[in-house]
Amino acid sequence: MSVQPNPAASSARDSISGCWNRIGVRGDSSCIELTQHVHCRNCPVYSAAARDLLDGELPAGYLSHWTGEVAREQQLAELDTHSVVVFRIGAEWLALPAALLQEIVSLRTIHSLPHRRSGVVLGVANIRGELLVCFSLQELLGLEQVANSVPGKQRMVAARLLVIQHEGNHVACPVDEVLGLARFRPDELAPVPATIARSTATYTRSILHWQQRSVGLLDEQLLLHTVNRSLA
Amino acid sequence: MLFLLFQLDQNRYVLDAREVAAVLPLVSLVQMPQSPPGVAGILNYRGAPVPAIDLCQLLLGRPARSRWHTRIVLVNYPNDSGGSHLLGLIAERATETVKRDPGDFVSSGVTAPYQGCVATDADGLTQWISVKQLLPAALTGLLFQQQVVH
Repeated sequence: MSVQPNPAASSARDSISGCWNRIGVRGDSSCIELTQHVHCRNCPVYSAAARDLLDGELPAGYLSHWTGEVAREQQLAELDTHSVVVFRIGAEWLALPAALLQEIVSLRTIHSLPHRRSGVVLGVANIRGELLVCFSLQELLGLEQVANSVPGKQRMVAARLLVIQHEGNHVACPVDEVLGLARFRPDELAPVPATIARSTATYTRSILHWQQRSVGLLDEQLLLHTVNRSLA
Repeated sequence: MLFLLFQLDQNRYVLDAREVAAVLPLVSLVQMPQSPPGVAGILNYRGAPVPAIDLCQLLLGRPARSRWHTRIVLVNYPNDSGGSHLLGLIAERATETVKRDPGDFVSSGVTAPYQGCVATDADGLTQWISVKQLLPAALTGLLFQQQVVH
């Protein structure tokens, strides 16, 4: 708001004999009302004094400023937004649609399966009494193993297991860190740079710039198709 | 039930919050020629004209003062065809909402055109103003004509 503070109000502010400065929380706290209200800001005397500050003449420019402000057409809120869960694998920030995720649980032991000691399928993990197949996004996307500068213990604290629900099937995949939910409009997405030669590009639909990071939005259909195929 | 509280001189009034569409700061109004007292003018709300009533003029007989706490309360004024029009009410000290039990309000025994019921509390009497009964019939006709013209 470009309107200057009201000089009348500020002079009124100076002249208020603030009981809160004498016997309230900013004074010696001897006011008996404090036993009930705990802090002066909860006291009706304090809020009444605050309201009296509004009893001042309007400054020049106030009416014209607000007349213009009220007359302006309201910008309608954008409704066509999508929500994704942003997570990190190695040095890559990736995202999957939030609707796809059933839950995010702490990382737990993944028991390897006999004769399946390599590849996309890592093994099974116990999640709420259910054995879910865990797959490696890192392997699937062909991401490089990066030397992690974070000490092992901290890394384990941040690591999570994403439980993905798709067409009645549940699968899980470990990630190094979950950042949270991002909400975006379709026009905020940028195309995947053509220079990406890794298989990441195959599974990445578009790039979302979020909190100074470039987040790869994964193509969940293709991803889960590949996962299902590798399970067979 | 939630009410919007405002105060004209020493009198406290409440409006049903469900009837309130928006509370705006005081803005400049376009005066309507030969309008009866109480009609303050027309304001431009998001590009649409909305008539505004000065509640101080209507209830106290003096125009509302230009103060920080003087606000324009936009209410949905029901019309005969089942829809509603926006109507601006200029009120002083329109600074807070209160939660009151509708059962607290009892008939005052005085028949006033704008007034519904009153409730008592530590600060005195509070009058519940019904938007529908607020305007005199002559004023209603005038304002609705305005709406039709636009």
